[in-house]
Amino acid sequence: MATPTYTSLATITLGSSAASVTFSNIPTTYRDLILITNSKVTDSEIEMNLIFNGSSTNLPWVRILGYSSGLTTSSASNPYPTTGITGDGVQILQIFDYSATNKHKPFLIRKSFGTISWSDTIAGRYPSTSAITSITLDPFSYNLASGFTASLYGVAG
Amino acid sequence: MQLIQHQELASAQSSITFNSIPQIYTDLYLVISVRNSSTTSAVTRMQFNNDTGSNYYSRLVYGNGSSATTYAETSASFYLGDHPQSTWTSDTFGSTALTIQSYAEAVAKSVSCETVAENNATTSWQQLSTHLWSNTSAITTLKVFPLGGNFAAYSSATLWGITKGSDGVTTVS
Repeated sequence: MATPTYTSLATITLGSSAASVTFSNIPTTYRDLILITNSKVTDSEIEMNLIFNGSSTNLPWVRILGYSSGLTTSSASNPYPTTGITGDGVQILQIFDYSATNKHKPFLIRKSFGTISWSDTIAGRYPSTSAITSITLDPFSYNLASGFTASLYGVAG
Repeated sequence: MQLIQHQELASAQSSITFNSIPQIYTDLYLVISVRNSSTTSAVTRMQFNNDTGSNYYSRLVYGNGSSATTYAETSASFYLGDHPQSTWTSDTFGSTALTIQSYAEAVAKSVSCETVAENNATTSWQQLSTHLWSNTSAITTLKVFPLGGNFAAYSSATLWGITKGSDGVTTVS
C-alpha cells in the first residue's frame, strides 16, 4: 500500500444546521494543513469568518475573482476571506507551516463555486507566531446548512 | 492520500482514461503532465463516466503575463486549460492539478483546478478554473483528452484518492 501523504485528522457532516464548526486539538506534528469543505450555508452567498485559535483577528489577504461580469482583484484585512454558499462548490484552504512558532502563517484559499459561476483565489496570512491548534468556520448571523461537510488533513514535512 | 493509478504514454495517444475508479475514497486528486501533438490547438478537456451531454460547466481565470481574463462555458466536457502544443518549445509539458470533491456521492461534482502551460516564448499561460458536473452519479471513469491531435509520448496522469477520517486526537464540533 502506498504511503499516504494526507493524514486525516477530523471530518464532519452536519445532519442539521449549526452556527459554526470548530476543529480543535489539532496536533502540531505536521507541516501544513488542508481543509476541504463544500461551504454550504442556509442563506445566500456570504462572507464567512475564518477564526484561528479561537480569536477572531484581521487576516490580510489578496484576491483574484473571475465571474460573469469579468475579472477583479482586491485586497482587505478582515476575518472573513472564506465564503459560504447555498449551491454546489468546493473550497480548499491550505495553511503552510501552521505549527511553526517563529513565523506568521501564509494560506491559500481556492473557491470553486460552479453553481454561481465563480473562480476565486485568495492568498493571505495569519499574523501570529503561535501554532494553529483550532480552526473555526462561522457564517456570522447565518448558519451552516444541513449537508455541510468539512474534512481536515495534515501534510507531513 | 492513496495512489490509485499512474499512467505514462509510451507513444502518442488520443486520451488517458481511468476506469473502474474505486468508490472507497472521499475526494479524488489528479495531476497530469501533457503535451499536445496538434499544431493548431493546445486545449485539454475532461469527461466523467463517458457522459457526452452538456453537463459540464467551466469558468477559467487566466493570465499570460500581459493580460488576465475570465472565460466561461457549458459544454460536453470540461475545459481544463491549455497545455503545450507541438509548435511550442520542444520537450516542454504543461501540468494540471485538480481536486474532485465527493466524487462517489449522489451530488453534483465540483472541481477545483490549476493549470500551467509553459513555453519559452511569448505565449504561456497560468489558468485557475472551477468546474461543475451536474450529473449526480458517482464517478467511475475519468478521461482527459486533447481537443485536437493526441497527447504526445511521455505525457502522464496520476490519480490519487483522499479519505476523510480521524486521527483520534483532533476534535470537531
